[in-house]
Amino acid sequence: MLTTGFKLFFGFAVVALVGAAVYGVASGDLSGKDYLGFVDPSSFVGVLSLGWKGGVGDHSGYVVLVFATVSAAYLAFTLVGFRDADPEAVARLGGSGEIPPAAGPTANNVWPAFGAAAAVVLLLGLVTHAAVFVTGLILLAVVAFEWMISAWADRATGDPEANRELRTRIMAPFEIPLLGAAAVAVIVLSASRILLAVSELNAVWIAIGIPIIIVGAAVAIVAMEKPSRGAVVGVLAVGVLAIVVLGIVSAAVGPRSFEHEEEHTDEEALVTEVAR
Amino acid sequence: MTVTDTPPIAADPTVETPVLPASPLVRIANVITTGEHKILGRMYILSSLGFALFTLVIGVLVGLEQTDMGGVDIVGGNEAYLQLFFLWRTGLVFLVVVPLFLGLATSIVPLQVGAPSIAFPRAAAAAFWGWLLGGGLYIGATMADGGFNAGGDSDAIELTILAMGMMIASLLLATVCVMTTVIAQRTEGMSLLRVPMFSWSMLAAGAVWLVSFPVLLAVLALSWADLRGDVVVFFETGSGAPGSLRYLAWAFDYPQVFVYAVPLLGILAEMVPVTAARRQAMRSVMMAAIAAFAFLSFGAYAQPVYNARVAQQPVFVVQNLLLLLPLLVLLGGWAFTLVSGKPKASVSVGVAGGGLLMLLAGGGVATLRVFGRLVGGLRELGDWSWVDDISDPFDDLVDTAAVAAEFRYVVLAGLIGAVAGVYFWAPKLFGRRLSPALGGLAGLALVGGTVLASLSEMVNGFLDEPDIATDVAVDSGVEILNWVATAGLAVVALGVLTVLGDLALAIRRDSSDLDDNPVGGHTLEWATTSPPPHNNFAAPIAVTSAEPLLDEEGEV
Repeated sequence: MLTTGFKLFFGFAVVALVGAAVYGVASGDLSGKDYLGFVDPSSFVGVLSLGWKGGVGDHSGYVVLVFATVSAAYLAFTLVGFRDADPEAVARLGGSGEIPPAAGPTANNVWPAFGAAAAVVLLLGLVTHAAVFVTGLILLAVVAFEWMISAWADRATGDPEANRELRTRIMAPFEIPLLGAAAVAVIVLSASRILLAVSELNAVWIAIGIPIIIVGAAVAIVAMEKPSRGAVVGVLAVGVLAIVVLGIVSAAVGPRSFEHEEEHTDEEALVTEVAR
Repeated sequence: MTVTDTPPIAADPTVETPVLPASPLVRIANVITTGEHKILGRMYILSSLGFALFTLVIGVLVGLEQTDMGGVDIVGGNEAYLQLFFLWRTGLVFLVVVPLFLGLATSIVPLQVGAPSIAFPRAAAAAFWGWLLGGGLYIGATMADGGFNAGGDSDAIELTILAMGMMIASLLLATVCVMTTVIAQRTEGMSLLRVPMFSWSMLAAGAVWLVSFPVLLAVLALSWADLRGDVVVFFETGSGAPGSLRYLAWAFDYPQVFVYAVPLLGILAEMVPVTAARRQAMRSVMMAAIAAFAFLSFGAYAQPVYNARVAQQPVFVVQNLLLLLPLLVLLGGWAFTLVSGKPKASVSVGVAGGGLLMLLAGGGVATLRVFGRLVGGLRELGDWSWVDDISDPFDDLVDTAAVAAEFRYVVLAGLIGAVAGVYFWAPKLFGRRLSPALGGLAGLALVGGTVLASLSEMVNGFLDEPDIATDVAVDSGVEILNWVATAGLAVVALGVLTVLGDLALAIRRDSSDLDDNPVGGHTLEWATTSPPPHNNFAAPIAVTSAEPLLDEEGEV
């Protein structure tokens, strides 16, 4: 019997292998080919022979995907060899002689709705800007991963509370730093748009004022005898929201005009020298 | 998990069902994150009824434009007219009727087959959100100068195509969930022949949706690729239907259009035996008739753009002539059941019966149009002048307003059937009874409006009004009939508004005395509480016939 772990990693290996093949061909030199030139069989030889007979496109991406294939395949066959995640094996080892019935998912899950929203971002990206499209792709990948982990955690035990804790234990080390980094990136990007949009003098005042407000708010919270969680979250939310909204408005307005120092090319310098 | 980990523990039946906290924000979060099929079904129903109101208003605008054939004035030019026209036609199918049936099915099918939940509950949730957001995007893109005709904003046209694709893909996913529930989640003893009729009709309709909607998706993908590439095939301007509408027209014409109304037959097949208080006679024949009707509605192959002569080919003509036969078999079966039972009048069965009449009328229009093709085909066999005499009036119907008449009869029949289903299953859907008086009023408005909106278009077909009329010379009388048709659509919109109003009023209605089975139903959904609990049933139920509740009462 093929175990759950085997199916997961073997599927991942197949996807990575197909991805490597497509990437290796698509990132190659297709100049001179017609619209469907990439179906030319000779384009595939290098990719399928791991570069032995013919070239591949972008080496780094191709190598990463091939190594992902090898790693996932290794894990898949190791898991099937040791009968991991196999209810029959678990029951036999545990001596119960019965396969425990799987429980249906009971917990709510935000990822289906997020997935639909990510698909909308992807579609909007297809008609607006490549950056929006890539954002949609990233969001869809995040949704797929989170959904997969949630689906596993929901069936891990019969206790929904224990399942929630299990999911948090696995995902929090990923989610908290990544979300934190994303939040910092958004704040930095928004703040930079604000500073670029206003006049030079105002930018200085804002750069001085914002840290003072942050420090002031922090001092006020620390000085409170029993700061409530809601108040802290509220203050932070309002502050971040204000910066992001102002950042969007500033990005829409555009940066102020900058005075550039006149740059001379080498040729201009030579002409000037000759003239002298 | 490795073998050294704790093995999975079976679900503990004593674990209490989570209770929704009182905070509105938490309630909203629960709704957004739910995989509970009853909540998803309710959201489908309410959203598609809201979309119905919007779509019908668009239909009224398009109709008002047709009340003056001298030019396009009201909506601001031909381009806007065509955008709204296509929004109205596609919206009625993919924003209203199909999701309305899927909403009913998402709620009711798991209860009917004795399952604790729908198959793939999270995929069902993703399907709902994908459809809802895709639908919003579709409307937004059309309004932003998109749509399916050349001349609009190319980005908005692209977005229209992509959004429609997202909507259809989501509906396909929802269909897969419903079909899997019927196939794989049935309770002990429930063979496929014992599946309740509505679930059976969803299985039959879903099978045809599953093989025809991907063709629609492929056409959309081609349209999109075409729009982004150098070769403009789909979006050329010229005579006939605009842009890619010609490539999508098969999905809104016979025979394909009939597949959107198949679940109406299942709903009526649930109601008639309940009304007659006896088992359905010749049940397996009735099931075969529903399946045959769905099978004969498959029309993805009938694409005149790729095969200009498809409508003259024997398979197409015979298929469309046969389409009415299963309906007649069903009619006979229901009549027999009603005559041999003790029928009690009810609003829901009356409304569903009205829907069936509309479907029969749509079938009649299709038969007339096919008859023209059939007789016209005889013309090719020899120089027979008498053929012309017979076929001319019917030949003219092929691309005229008769297309609109048939579309309205059939698709609005689906809407009427779904509304009847909402009234019938309201105790299970909302835990409330809906008002019979308001239901009757809504039914009258829906059926009466459909007759006005469709019959006048049928007459317009004989008066040579084209299906997409902008600035053309037509026989006198068309404009007046277009006023009548537009008024009919407005009446249908009022009917939908009445249903929404009744649902809003029902929230305040006291439901403490609501019985588990207030309608005397025969199938498993009536064996649980109103509304059903989490996991639907207190314990798994085994059945020994298609009408387990009648078995309990000892009825033969």
